[in-house]
Amino acid sequence: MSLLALWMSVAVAAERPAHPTAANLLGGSEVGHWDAAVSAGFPWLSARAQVGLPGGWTPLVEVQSALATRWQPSAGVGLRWVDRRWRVTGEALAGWLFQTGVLARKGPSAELRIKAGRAVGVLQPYAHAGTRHTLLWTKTTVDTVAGDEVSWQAGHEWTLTGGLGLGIAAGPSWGLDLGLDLPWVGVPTVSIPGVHLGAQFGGGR
Amino acid sequence: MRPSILAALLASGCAEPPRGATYRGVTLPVTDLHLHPGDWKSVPASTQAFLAGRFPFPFGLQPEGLAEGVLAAEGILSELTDAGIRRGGLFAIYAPRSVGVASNALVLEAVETDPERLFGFASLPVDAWDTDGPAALEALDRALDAPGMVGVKLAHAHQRFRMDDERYWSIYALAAAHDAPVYLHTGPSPFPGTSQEAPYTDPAYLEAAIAANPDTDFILGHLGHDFINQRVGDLQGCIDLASRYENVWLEPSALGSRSSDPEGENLTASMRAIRDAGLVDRVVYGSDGPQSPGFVGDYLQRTLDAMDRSDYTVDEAARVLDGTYAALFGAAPLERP
Repeated sequence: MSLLALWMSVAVAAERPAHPTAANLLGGSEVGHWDAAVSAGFPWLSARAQVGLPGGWTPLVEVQSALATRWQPSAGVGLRWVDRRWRVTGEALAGWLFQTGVLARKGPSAELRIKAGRAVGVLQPYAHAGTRHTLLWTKTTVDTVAGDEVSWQAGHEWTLTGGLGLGIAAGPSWGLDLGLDLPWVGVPTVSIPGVHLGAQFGGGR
Repeated sequence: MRPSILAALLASGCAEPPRGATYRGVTLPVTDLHLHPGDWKSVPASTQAFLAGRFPFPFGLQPEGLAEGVLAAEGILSELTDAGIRRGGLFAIYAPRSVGVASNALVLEAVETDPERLFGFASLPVDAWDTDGPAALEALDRALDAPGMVGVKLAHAHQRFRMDDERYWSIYALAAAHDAPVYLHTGPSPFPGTSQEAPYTDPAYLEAAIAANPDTDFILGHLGHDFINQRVGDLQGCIDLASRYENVWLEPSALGSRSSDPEGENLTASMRAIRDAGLVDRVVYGSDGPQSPGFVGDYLQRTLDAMDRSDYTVDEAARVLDGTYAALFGAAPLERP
């Protein structure tokens, strides 16, 4: 097959909703299809898997990590709201935060996010934004002459999630993306943007 | 001589000193009295968390590398140079239950990195004073004999001893014998493990010591600022003491930082109150850096802005930025660029 024919076949495949790059980056897998993605960068690593159900529903699981110190496993569901030239998907997830080191913390979390983008040939620009809330609790133990005094304090961490990038459908069933990660972790603490390189695959039954 | 070696020698010998700070169109030299060198491992875990929480994400997740770079002498010198500051004072502290320990030896080693630009304040542990006090005083005496050690640093809230406890006045007498001004933290501190009651934070509790030690210069650091509630706090008490005692000096560090005073209102109000009281010549500039990259320069700019809003003249600003340090410590004033 000539290179031109190969590029055209990939471009056609990329613009199909079933391509794993579109499914992962824009949201929503085709009915009966599974899709997965991994990405690595600074400071985030992530892995994700999802499967398509009727009605545009897509259950998913994902895990994100910053510097292997902050871990965010989650499970949830996505729903495609718009799926024409543009795709707009909403996702709702519940999970847990594990953070070790000097700023150790943990607790249940919930996130709502929206994803949007479109396929332009093999290219798939995308963006996403969301809000994530984590319930924290801290145990303080004070040694006293009379014995240990234990107290618990509840807390809350608010993170605005977000990012944008460009996906590339490199083959009929796989793709790559280069993205800018723009979460605002622990508002109002300042967050530095991150970058990542990702791979998407799947699309099969 | 080979051209490349000659060029290097010329460059090192003719290196430009930091440019200074521009105030109302005039470039003024700056001395930052108040800087903290340190060893991250000597900081208590709760204080490490407090500091790491101020780092931008994700640096707070693994803060040790960044903190060590900022706390090292070379990092501090870099911050001073970037801010246009010519010289800086490094504080020792012995507060193992709150902010940690930066020993006199650590400070002396840091000063020796660049003795032309760095000077030190010695400190001493005050725990178990009745048994360990004499030995602590002897160690302080030896530290103050070291070249480059020009003052004494105390922090009653962090070190958890009362300002009006006469048992500790021997520290002030020793400082006077060395012509070493004593810097004291005033006002409630946000650090974990600190004493926040009035006898540990309110400068009014220092009056007896000030009156009893007229040969000791007392620098009231942070102007009694309430860092917990982020309000002016005991500023008027500091001004009152400086008005009535010639051995009292004022230092406005940290209270005007972005985190403590986002709009700059507290620092402006403080500088204006000092000027209105006719005490500009008692103000010695300090930042309480380095804290994080860029803090030293940012605090200098915020102080310049506060003085401008308070209508300080160029000469008054020059006095604050370097003149008072020179007068108080008997140092040569820096020449204006």
